[in-house]
Amino acid sequence: MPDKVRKVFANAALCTGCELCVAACSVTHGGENNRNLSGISICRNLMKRFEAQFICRHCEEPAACIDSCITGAMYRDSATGFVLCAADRCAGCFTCVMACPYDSLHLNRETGAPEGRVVVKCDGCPELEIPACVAVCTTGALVIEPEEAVESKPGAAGVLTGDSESAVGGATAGELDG
Amino acid sequence: MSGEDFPRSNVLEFDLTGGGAKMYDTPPEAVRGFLGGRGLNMYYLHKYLTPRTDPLSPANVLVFGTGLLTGSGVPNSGRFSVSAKSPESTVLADANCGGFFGPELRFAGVDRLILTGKAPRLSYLYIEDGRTELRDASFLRGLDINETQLALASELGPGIQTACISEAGEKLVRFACVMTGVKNAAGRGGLGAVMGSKNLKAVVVRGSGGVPVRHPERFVETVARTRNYLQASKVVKVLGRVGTPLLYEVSNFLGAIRTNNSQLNAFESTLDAEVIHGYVEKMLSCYNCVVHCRHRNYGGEGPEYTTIGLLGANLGIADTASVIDLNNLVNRLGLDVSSTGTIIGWAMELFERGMLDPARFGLSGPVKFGDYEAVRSLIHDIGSRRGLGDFLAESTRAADELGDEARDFLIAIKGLPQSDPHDVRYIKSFALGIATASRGADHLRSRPTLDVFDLPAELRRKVYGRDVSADPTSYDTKEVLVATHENIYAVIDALGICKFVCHGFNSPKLLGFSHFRELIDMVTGLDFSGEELTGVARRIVDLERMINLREGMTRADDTLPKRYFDDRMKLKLAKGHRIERGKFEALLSRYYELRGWDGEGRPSAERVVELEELCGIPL
Repeated sequence: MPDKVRKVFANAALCTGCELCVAACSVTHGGENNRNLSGISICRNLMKRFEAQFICRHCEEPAACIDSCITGAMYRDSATGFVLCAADRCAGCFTCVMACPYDSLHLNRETGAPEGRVVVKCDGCPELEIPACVAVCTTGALVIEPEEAVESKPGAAGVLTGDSESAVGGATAGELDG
Repeated sequence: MSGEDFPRSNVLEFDLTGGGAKMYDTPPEAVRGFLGGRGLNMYYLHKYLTPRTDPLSPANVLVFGTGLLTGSGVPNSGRFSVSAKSPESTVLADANCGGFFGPELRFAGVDRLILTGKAPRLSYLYIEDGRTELRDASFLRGLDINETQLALASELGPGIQTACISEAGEKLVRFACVMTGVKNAAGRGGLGAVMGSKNLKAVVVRGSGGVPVRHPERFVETVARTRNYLQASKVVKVLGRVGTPLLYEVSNFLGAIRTNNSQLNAFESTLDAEVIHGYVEKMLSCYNCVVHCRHRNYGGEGPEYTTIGLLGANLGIADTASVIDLNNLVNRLGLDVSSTGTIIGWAMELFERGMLDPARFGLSGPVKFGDYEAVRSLIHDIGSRRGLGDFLAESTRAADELGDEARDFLIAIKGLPQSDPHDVRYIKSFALGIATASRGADHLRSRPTLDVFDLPAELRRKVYGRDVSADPTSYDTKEVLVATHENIYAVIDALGICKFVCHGFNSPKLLGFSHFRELIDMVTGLDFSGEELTGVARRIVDLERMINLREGMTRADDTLPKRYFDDRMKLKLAKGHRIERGKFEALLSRYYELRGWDGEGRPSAERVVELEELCGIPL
């Protein structure tokens, strides 16, 4: 086990709900832009005014998904520390989906046949220098940092809702990318 | 490339009268020729629309079309286009819309939805993974945009995307929008009224599929690089912080903000972006957007530059909170903000001039510039078609019974009220652009914004391929600017990508043909040269021209509101400017020539045959 598992955390206040992270995850892992193949999910409700991010925290002991798995498909990779699912052993029972306290696992709705039903979750992108979702995030809402560091950040105030600078940054017509 | 390698571009055609659905593929030649989005919408509109059809009759054809790259995951690729014959203007209607509906339509297995006929009763169309069902919508009757979507979500559960109309669409207000989410609108040209005329309250989609990417191994690097390139641009940074209201200050500085129905050309600083921003809770994105220019305000989303211009300055309303409230109101009522603000401003001036009698509408007095309460009430009346609101719900057709003098004060072209709050008398390329726009007075067909940036000659030459005048008030070479911008916007509309990341739209440093080429190749594996993309653009612009000519449009329709010719601007830098008729006509002739059209603005006979043959390929 590594000293530190590379975990992705989200700062909800910085998330604009664009879902580029979902696109990057599903295209990288499944070859198509399909949220059912993505390990990260954005739950957005424009009417109810929220954007929420769901991604695996690769929990240290105990990991509810590993403990609840009935076939032993869910395991911890000893090299990276990531919690992974061995698809060939997954029975598609979705006990882990129910057990996860962070709602970070989901069923692949696309593969409707029982034998194709496997759980979809974050694999941590071990082969990439930066996880795909973090690499494309447009506002820095997704980071690879300790959870405490993310939670102590001062929300969106500086980046997304304006600050003491002039609203157009002092730009005039002639300067806007002229 | 052919067969199964060719990217999917299918059509779900649904006959609302009989309830029959059929699915077929768009011919590969047509995909190569028009890509998708606005391009293929025009292809099908030309193919299926009988000329001179009553736009509110069952014979009108309503097309929802996603772009070639919509939902593919490339930056800002969340858009779709809605097209039909307009019940508001005298020409075609085609409106581009963001949000999340377009990608969901593709995830549900449908790239383009074509609706014909008229449902026997108020209905909504439910599409899930290619299955289609027309369902009773009587429980949605009279509901506004938000209420409709909430009611459908409670009926159908989470995971749906809805494009719908409000009471205004049901009651055939000629500038009712098709909307999705809180404020995403296929806004222009009265497409909501077309939906209403078909007894169609909403289209609901839910998909579990995806959009395949041909070269997934390039995806993360390409997207991150494109994002970095875009976010390095000053205009993208500013748009991401305060949204389109940034343009208000720029236009106001010039003296180019339509004020009091264009009687004046500058307004208060209470609508500056910085002030507006005090009412903003968070900035949001449409699907896969790297700009995040949308505001979540404390009672809705917005306002955009267009809203603060047309419901603020144009109606003489300066109070920031009042303008944001009106913004939220028109969005809930599903009314096109450009037409609403223009038509109310027009009525206000007619009241001032004694050309409209308040008593006729049961009003105790005229609706005056600056009267927020009266405007608020009037907007409600337009949405429900009551009194004066019922009269104005006819949009520019209201002038038919008032006569030519009243028509002279209308800020409209081809029957469509002007969209942009920009008074175009100062920047001549803007004037030509709204005069020739294929859907009527509208800036989103060309808007050659670079004209005001005083770019160095070398950069101008690079952007426009030749030397062009740097003076925005000159008529010289403005046809080159308009044609160039029309071309690139036609392509981006066909790809399903947002104009805010488009080269030429507020910046010369955003996505151009070389970027499009790279993105198209990554997603579809199709290779398009820059020349071929220009060919696509010319095809789209020419075909739109052919559709409009079929509807009876002539050169005389490529003109401007009378006031822009006859009245001089009164304030600020733009003071004294107007459009000179002779110079405008000469500019228009040069534009036609550059487009390869004759002196009457008609494509050549050979070109017509070529495009008709392409549209005539059997399906």
